[in-house]
Amino acid sequence: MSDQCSHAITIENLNVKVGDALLLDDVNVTIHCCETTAIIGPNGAGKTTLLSAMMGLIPYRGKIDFCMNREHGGGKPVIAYVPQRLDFDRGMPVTVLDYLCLARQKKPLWLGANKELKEKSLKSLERVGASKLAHRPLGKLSGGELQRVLLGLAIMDNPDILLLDEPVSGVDMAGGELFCDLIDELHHERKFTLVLVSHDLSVVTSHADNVICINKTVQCQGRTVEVLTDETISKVYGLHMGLYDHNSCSHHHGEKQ
Amino acid sequence: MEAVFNIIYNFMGILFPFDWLSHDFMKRALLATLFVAPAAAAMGIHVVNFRMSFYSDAISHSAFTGVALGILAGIDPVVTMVFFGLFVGSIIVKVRKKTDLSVDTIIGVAFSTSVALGIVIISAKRGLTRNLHSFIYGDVLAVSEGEIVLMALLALAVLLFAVYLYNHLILMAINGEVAKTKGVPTTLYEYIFSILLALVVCLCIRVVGILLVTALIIVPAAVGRILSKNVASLFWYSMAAALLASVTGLVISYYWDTATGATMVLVCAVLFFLSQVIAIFQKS
Repeated sequence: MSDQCSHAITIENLNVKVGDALLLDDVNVTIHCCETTAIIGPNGAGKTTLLSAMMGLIPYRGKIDFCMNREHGGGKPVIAYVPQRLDFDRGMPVTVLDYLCLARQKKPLWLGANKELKEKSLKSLERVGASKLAHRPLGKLSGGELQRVLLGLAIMDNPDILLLDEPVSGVDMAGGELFCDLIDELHHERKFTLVLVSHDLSVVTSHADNVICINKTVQCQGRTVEVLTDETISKVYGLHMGLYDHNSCSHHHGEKQ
Repeated sequence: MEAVFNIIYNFMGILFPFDWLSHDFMKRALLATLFVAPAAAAMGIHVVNFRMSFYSDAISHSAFTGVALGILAGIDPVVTMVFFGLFVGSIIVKVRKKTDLSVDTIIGVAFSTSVALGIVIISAKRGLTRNLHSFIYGDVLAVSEGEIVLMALLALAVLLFAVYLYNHLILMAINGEVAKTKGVPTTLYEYIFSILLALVVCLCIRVVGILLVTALIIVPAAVGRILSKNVASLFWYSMAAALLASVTGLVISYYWDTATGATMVLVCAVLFFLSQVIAIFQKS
């Protein structure tokens, strides 16, 4: 982490309105460079909406500033996104390799895939442990496999910021743990700023440096150990919920806390 | 223009010295087919992916009203058909973005409104019906050289579209959100696609008629989808199916003296069933 740049994303007075519904109300948030920040909150709190706003996918009022220091390549940061799940037509004849090439190749894929890009895609798949899936149809993948492929697609652009929406939902516990480990490895290796939305508090306590609790507006934010107390959790979720270090992505990440 | 077409006809005569191609009207029909069928299939791939076959049906049926308006106003019905098709298409796309109603409801309303308008116009002005026949059933054998030029231009536009937007449209069809984060201007592309599709639908009407346009657009793409395993072969199988079915249909209709457009669609349907059988055998 460099001294000049400690704030990767600064969000000020963010408001998101869809129709008459106010989804985010005066959100002020600082996301630190190269660290892992978890966004937590109950269902419908606007977690995914916040991610969408950061990516510029939805209209919003307020300011979202990205750190433009030179070590981040100057201009706009590269943001990659791994959605919670991919809703798509599973009958489409698209292979995993096709999917990775589609986004970056200028030449139409019916004239053949670019050789370098193909190699790059394969390398990216290898990095996320999905080499075997390269020629499989995208529609035939399991939830966990699909998530790896999406992660592979996300890291292909060497992102400055990686956004993960519910990384362990829809995957079994062992799969979720492996996936978290993989993300941790990649994070150490590539030093991107990692933002994850999760409602799994054990994932948050074991992986995130910082936590932002939102429920339409920011309830609290700060270092994970300071913020995640029983008191704040019941404030955010509105019912008594304790912290148990019980499931996925756990034990051997204790050093981070 | 006539001189250019005469050269083309002579050239075709030398290149394909077949009995069925000896008449100039058959040469025109073949030219029209070679431009329109692949263009329809190239659009059809995305129509199937985006599940927009009802949209293309709506455009083709609104063309009926466009033709009626043209005849009523004394303007070339092909011109009014194209403009009315574009008009209905852009209304559907606009309204879809503005309301919570489902797409098929919006299309259904636009569809029936324009067809009803067409029928009202025709019933008020008896005698229009005869002119409408060639649009309802298609009449590729009567296609003019001017129309062929239009079709060639449109085929060129579709080719450019297939070269520059193919990858991004497939990416959008898989998941719009991911496509957006990869920098794909999805809204712009949706408009471009819808407008181009409306144009293709209108020119296809001259070949297969209002009733069967959607078939010419989606059946070759459906064959491609069944036979292909990846994005590249999807394109080529769809193209091959479109060309094979339309040219074979044209030839068969010449010898059996059947309606050309309908014969093409039937051959297309046969290819569809054959590809299903192949797919079943491949699986087992």
